[in-house]
Amino acid sequence: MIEPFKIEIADAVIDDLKSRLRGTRFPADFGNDDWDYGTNGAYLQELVRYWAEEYDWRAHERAMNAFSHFRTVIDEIPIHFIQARGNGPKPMPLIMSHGWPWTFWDLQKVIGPLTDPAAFGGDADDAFDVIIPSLPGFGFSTPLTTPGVNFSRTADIWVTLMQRLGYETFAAQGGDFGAFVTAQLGHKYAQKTLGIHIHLAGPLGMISGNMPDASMFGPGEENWEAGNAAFLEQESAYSRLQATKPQSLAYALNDSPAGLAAWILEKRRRWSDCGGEVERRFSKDDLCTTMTLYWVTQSMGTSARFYAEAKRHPWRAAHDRQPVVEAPTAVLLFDKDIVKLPRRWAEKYYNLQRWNVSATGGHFVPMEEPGILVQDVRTFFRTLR
Amino acid sequence: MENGLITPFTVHIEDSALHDLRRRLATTRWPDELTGAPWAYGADLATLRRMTDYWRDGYDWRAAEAGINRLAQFRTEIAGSGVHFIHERGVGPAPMPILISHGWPGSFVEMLELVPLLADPARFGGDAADAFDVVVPSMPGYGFSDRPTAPGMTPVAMAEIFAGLMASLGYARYGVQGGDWGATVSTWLAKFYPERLSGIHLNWIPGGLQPAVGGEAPVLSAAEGAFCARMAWQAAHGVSTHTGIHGSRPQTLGYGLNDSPVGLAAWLIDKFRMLADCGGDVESVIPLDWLLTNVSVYWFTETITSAIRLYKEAQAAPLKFCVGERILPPLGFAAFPGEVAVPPREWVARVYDVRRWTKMQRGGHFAAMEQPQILAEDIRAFFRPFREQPR
Repeated sequence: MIEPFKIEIADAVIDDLKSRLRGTRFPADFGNDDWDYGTNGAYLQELVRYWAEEYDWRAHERAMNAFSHFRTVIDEIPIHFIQARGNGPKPMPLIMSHGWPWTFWDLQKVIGPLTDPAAFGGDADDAFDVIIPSLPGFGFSTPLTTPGVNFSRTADIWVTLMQRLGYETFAAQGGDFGAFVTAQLGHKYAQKTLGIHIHLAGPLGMISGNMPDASMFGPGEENWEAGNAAFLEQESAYSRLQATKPQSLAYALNDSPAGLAAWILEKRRRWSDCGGEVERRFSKDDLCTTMTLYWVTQSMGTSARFYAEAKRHPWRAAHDRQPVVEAPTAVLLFDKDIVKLPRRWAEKYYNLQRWNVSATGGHFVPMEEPGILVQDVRTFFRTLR
Repeated sequence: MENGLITPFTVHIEDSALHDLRRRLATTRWPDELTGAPWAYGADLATLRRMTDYWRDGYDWRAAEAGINRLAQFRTEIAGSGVHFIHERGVGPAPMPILISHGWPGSFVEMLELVPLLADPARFGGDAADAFDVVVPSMPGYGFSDRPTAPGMTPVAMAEIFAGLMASLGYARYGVQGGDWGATVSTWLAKFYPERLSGIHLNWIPGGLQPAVGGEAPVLSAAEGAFCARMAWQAAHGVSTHTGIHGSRPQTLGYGLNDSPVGLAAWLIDKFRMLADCGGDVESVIPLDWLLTNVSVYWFTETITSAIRLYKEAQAAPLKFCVGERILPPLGFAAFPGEVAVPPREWVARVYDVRRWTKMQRGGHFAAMEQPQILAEDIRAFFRPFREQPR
């Protein structure tokens, strides 16, 4: 059963949020202009002040509700999604999967251009029916109380969702954890998946420690291996924590909106192509909207748990054919993204049809570089229509 | 406060802070939990709720405060940093001065039961000749010591401050004792001031200890090889994940923990349960009141962020030793069976002059809270040969 859904956060929840923000006990911060110790205190205080005093949730809620939202339950797991019908002669169904710490709303800028290309200077033949679910345990796909829901399980759920919507075959797109969901669709459900487009490449067993050999990095990729190693060394403690004890972290982040903001903000700044100025890529409103979505849906704990589920229930191959991902694949990498794997490896792992590297943009592609993403998605799937 | 001026100190938390804590506890937004998976993903919801309900409705901070204040406390300023410390004079013919350093997630509160056992052994069935003058500082950034206001408060800097503290108390020669970060600070004190230390007693070998291996150093024993392999595996698999986040982006975590008392309690009590020798039932070895007093000290002093920043600061001062580089004062080590990682004796002997190595019968990482009596006995026995004869 699929039910229409409208986002209507109660006034009491927003009032409580503001009251908590105003009552924040900020710890002292010092010697941290470069955010080396983590989220900078002065910036966080300013953002928290803005969130409590100036930010208008209702305006963003209205913008979200301009799209058609639905909720359904699949295998006892609540799933929220946007369905935006394409405007063109033969729209292609496209399921788009977000990542962490993202929400479905990180895809907001690409919905229009992908569903109605003609209205955005494109060709109506490139129209898609766009389906944007919230990952299980994220946003309005909550509460998640079932153990074991990892990205593989999510791919199974997506197939059921698309069937319920009447799409027997479909295209898939994603980044971050969404790229793993998407690649799993291309691996296990290659018959149903017309093609996949991802902007984070990696072996499906990556979180269990499987990484390509260093010798695979080729021309133009000389710095990538060092970049990956630096990320693992300096920036990945959050991931190890979330993969082992997400619940120990959840108490603070579900009770303190400033704590939640600090946790998300550090990643938004570090992982985006912002040169250290997070607002070059995300406005204060963008940041506050993401944080409000996590706050009002109380989903930080379950979203962090997605790492633990990936670790505890390691990816298992559905078949041993090569390439692992048989669906036609496009990889679009971004120079400032956190992990970049080599083309030579990707050519073996995926049925690789398209490979592009963008000189600008970081990890949060649909927010940072929606234009580049839209162009690449249109061009790739045009060949598969 | 002027440098060297020592003023008596009494813990007193304002009523307004108590009310604010109760209000925050009462308005906690609890996360949900997976069905049938207590502790599997971190601190267990039902346990946390019960503990923090008690924190709000049953626990008596004023009683805990009175208990703390039964021990003589002071504050002084050393090298620009305000230091809080317990200073209990020994009851005996010739008390020996001893400096006891705590670690994380503990605080000076860990030592409240140990201090009287060491200061006045006769009162607890021991020998007055074993009495110590006991000094228990709060580490800078912890408890009622000042929080640092600039980067660089490494364990080395702390060792310098503690050496200054002992000097300002007039102790030219003393013993040191410690576990967790306190073991690291104690080791640095022994390295820098061997002539001042009559001995060093540890109940934890610093996890960051890097003795010389290879080259002219002795060949690794089988036990050492296995220990190194286990440590490498744990590091690669992120077994103690809190050290990763504390050591890289502590400030990011600090905002939530300083703003949510339940978040703070979850973070700390999870570690107590993980590291104590308790078979999963932390309250069987450390009373809930003690756990909550420790959490309350972090909460009221707003020191969780400064405390966990130590893990990052410490990276600037690795405990790395060259061939032949030694810690000179004699070492006594109490090896508690529930401790997370006890290296082989020969590994420790590469650096320390190991004179005593006691296999303790029970107890884990929080020896002073879990097993104060047998820890006190081992400390007394170790230092007995190194006491100066009464004049």
